[in-house]
Amino acid sequence: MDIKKIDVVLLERMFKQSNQELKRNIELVNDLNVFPVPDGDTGTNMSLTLQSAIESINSSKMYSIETISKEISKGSLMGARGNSGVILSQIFRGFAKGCEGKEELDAIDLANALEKASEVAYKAVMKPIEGTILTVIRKTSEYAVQFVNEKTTIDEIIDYIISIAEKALDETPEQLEVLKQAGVVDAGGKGLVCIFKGFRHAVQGRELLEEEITSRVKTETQKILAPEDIEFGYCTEFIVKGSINAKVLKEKIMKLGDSMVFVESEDIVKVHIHTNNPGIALEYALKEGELIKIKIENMREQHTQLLTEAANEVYEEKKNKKSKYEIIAVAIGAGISTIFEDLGVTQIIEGGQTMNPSTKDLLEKIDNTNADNIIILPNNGNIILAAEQAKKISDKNIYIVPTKTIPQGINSLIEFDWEDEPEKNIEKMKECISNISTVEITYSVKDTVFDGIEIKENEILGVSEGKIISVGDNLHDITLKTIKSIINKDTEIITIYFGEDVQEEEANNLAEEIEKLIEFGDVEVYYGGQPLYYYLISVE
Amino acid sequence: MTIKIVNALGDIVIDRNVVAKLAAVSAMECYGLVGMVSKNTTSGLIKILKNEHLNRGVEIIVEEDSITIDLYVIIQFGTKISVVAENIISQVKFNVEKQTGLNVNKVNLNIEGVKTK
Repeated sequence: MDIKKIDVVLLERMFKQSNQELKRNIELVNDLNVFPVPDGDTGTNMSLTLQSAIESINSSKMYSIETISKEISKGSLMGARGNSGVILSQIFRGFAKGCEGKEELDAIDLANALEKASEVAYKAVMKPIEGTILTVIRKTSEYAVQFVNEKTTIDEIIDYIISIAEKALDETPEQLEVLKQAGVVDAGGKGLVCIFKGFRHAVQGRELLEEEITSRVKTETQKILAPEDIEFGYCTEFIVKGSINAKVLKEKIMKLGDSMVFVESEDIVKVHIHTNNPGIALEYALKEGELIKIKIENMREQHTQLLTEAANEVYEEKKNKKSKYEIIAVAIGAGISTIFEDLGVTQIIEGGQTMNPSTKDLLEKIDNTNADNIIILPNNGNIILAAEQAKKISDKNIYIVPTKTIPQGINSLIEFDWEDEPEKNIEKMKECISNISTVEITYSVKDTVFDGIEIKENEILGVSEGKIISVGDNLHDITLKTIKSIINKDTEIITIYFGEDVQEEEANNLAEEIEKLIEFGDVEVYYGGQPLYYYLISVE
Repeated sequence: MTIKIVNALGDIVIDRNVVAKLAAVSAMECYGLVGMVSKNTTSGLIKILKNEHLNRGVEIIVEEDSITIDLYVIIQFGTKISVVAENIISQVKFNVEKQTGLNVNKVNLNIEGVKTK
């Protein structure tokens, strides 16, 4: 058969055939499962995830390529189980993105949808492990996109996809040592091949089996109930004595709530139920006989108490911690100060480029502290000296981390550990400083010549590591130009702290542009609120 | 702080940071996890950690004969958080137990952010 295009009927059949093919192979896939945790459930997980996707299609009101693929995506997300299930849900999510706006899928569309699937699947992992289902989907989509052209039929592309996927699967033991040792191919990858084979069955027109009955296991997710989530608030327990029509009583009380336990023996019945109407339950019981041992407890209250107790414990623990360290930082700007406080800085001295705090200011803060060790972050080249003077004069244990910029100070604190010894901490913090570069965007306060560059008053300056990189009128362009000069392919994180003269929206736009410059990496934007500097930017 | 395994032939002492690193690296390999954040932050600020600082997003609590691991992570948007979380927990527990021989009592996961890109 030469099918040129996949219509919605075929697409639905493709996924349903996949579901059946996967079910047939559950045990086989389970047996292959040795990675990441050898618990032998990959086949079951994938199958249940796909089953949930199929149920979602069945309940769909609309019937088009776009809606069916969206239902697959949604259903697999809601029903995802295990690692392989989550990955599969992302593959389908990408596939659905690739189907957006399509009324039919030709071979090229199918290849593109697979490429999108691979792309989305890779986004959700920081360190992709090769030799897994991810590798199989990636290789398959890469080759499929190259293989396909206008003349390719659906039969051809699917045959090709299966052959590539099988080849990629056979190579997985070479990529992942655990598989090689166990002498198996990747389980998730195998599952994916089964899905592709299901596609072929559908294209070949194979009949769907009668809907099989599947044992659907409900996902058990543990959650901590908030008090308002408790549906029935009173745990009610009592014993009824007398000649009781137990059956009638049981039915009446059961309707009042849940978690019912009903024990009967000769002339005694013990009832336990969670209900919002303990009174009514008791009334019913009174009609049958005498009540003994009544106990009613408010579960919401109990629960709140548990929560408060837990919170109090944490609080007490923190309070009793002996303070080994206090950290003093020189900073300016509301946002920057908050960030420092969040990172554990106990005292902040306002100051910076144009307002250097004196040794005396520093000493005052030092006297206020009450800890075994004091760490000072000067955060400016001009303040390091004052800090060192303060250290000489004071008789406390003072350590100075020679941070020359605010971003250096912030980053060095990431390495700080309250439990480590001071020497170790300082060493780590110093090392951290050397790993980051700082870009500062500011403006000139007067006409001047610097490094042979002529600068007029109010012109914007892009400074990287203390050197002027670019000068001009446009804040956006200068910032981008300066950043471009410093990033490379190893750049992982760029953090932007925008100053009091910059709008958040403007900063976010800038971040988006910068994001395009770096291939793998993140750009973060925080409110710094600093004067003079439009942006302080750290590049790691 | 260190973790000590007493053995007839001698003691094995594992630095807490080593266990933290192991936990961080195995967590990072988990599907759905896209970043780790520093546990030092008390509110608001979430600082994404660079590769070599990953163990700052892990807290190891040493108990009598077992350890508890707290992780501070960022999850990818569009994944089912409950399932991703379960996967991370079992994967980290499995890997740390396998590599150190320590008994991992609990792995607590704190999801501090969602990446939407």
